[in-house]
Amino acid sequence: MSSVLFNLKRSFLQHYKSNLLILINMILSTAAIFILLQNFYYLRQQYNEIYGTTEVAHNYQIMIENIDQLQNYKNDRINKSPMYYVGKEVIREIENKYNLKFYYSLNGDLYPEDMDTPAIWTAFSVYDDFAGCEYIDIHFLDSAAFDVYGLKLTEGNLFSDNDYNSENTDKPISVIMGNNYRNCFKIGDTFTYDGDTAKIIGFLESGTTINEMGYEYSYDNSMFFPQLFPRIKDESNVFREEFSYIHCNDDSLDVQDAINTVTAKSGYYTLSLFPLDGIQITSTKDISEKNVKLIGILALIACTICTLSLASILVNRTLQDRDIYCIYLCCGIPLWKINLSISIEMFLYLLLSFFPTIGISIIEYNELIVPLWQILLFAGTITFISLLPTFIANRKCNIDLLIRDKIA
Amino acid sequence: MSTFIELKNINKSFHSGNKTTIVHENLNMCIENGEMVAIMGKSGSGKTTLLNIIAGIDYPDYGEYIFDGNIIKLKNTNDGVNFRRNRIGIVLQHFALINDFTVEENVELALWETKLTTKEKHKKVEDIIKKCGIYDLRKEYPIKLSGGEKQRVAIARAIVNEPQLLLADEPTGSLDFETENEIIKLLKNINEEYKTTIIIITHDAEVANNCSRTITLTKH
Repeated sequence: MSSVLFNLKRSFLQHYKSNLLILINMILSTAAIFILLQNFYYLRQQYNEIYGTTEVAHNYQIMIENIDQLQNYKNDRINKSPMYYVGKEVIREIENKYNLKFYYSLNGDLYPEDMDTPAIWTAFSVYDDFAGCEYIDIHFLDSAAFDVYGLKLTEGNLFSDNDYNSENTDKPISVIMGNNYRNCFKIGDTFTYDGDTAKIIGFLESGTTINEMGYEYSYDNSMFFPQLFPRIKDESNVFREEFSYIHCNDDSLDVQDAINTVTAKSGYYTLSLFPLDGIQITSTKDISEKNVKLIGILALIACTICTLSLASILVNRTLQDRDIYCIYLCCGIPLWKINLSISIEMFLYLLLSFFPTIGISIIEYNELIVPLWQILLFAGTITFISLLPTFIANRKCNIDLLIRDKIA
Repeated sequence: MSTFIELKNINKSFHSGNKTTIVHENLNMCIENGEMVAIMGKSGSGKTTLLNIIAGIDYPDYGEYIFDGNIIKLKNTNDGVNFRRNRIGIVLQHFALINDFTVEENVELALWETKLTTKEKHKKVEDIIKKCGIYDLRKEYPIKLSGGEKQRVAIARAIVNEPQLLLADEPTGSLDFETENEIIKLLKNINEEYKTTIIIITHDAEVANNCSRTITLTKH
């Protein structure tokens, strides 16, 4: 190994200017890698703090911010909910563009005065501590909502298109009942609801629940009516229909941003979202990802420049040393030992180049945020790539060059 | 004396584009152990190519090269380096010294790849530089030495690990007459004292006259 050590000593002293440049280059590239990795870790930590512990919402309540702006609805507020018009005018476009599912789901309460079937009332009403009265849980759903909630019937049929027809006032209102109603009713039975006749067309599976805002609600004692129930007599009920729902399966989609893109483009009224079963993906993630990509590109450019610069200094240094290497060959020192000596020298500079980066990290954060092996992996790759042209140049070393005095 | 180097039907040519230059065609040559041989010839006659083949720097296209009874077949540069190590010392016209090393260090260079201890290396270096008459210059750098002194350092480096063969390519080519005689005398001493076989490539008839035999190459 003495040939390697002697050459290391010679190269270290003889090329002190080149070596200083090499060291500066390596310090810069190590710092660039450190900054990239540090930012990556920081952004990942930030991302995990926001998104890591809570699930991303799949269901959002959607509402129009200023309902008075919706002209079509103003003229027809008794028969149609505002969401009917929102759905008709803009939601379908959002659905098609972003693979979102718009659905209608409205919770309601049924009170004794709304129905004249005491048997139902006695068996299924529950006492509301907050309101201080008894009620039956009812829901207005569209067919999309049945899909989204994954509701399945144990008996009977789902609502047909005809059930949603608000003009068909002579026909009884179709109703799907929770499983517990099977004890009292069968398919085809009717009861009176708010002056109209309700006809049972199906029963839900036993134990059907829905997760809403983190709570599981049982639907065994609930009734389900079609969306946009057409025969609303009491205008005070209308306010409850000013929102609807969006279902999204894509955890990375900023749903609000997607909706804004469409509404802004078409000049539609602002629609706002409220997440129901998790947290809302916001543009923070986008910004984080963009930052990581941007930093990645900058670090890549910096590392490429450093690699090229390092390779060029090394090759230049090697060409200056070519006569010496030829003399080495002449004295029985093999080429691989010359290359080994250069590699060890570069590795030493690589280790030296870590100190400023480690120092900055410890001064700034009192710890080494980025694992040392990761910096070593990246910086080592840069050094190895930089060494390749030198190894290629060294392969051309030959004593014949020395004998014929052909070394430039 | 026994045959030390034998070249049988050596053919060597160089190709440049469509042009082929034949340097050696069916070259046969024998050198005895302990001989001091001069190889002469005009420019382009293939003297240096012959030296390269003998030193294992270049390989013949065809033919057989026997060194100390062994057929030499080299495949790459590393094979050549291993073949030369401790067997062949080379002295060049332009000395090939490293200017950043002292005389001692330049000579010690040839011992880097040996398994000797540092003390043994120093002892060997000291002995050989005394023998070559450059002991007083041992701490000097080549840049301060005259041509003759530089060549003495180069010879000392070439023989420090006691090679069987010393190849000298125009060793006196850059020296004045007086210094040339000193170098020839030194080489003769080495040949007589260490029984080292010496092959000298030269243009100089005076140098050739001091050798036991002269081989003249003719240009193709």
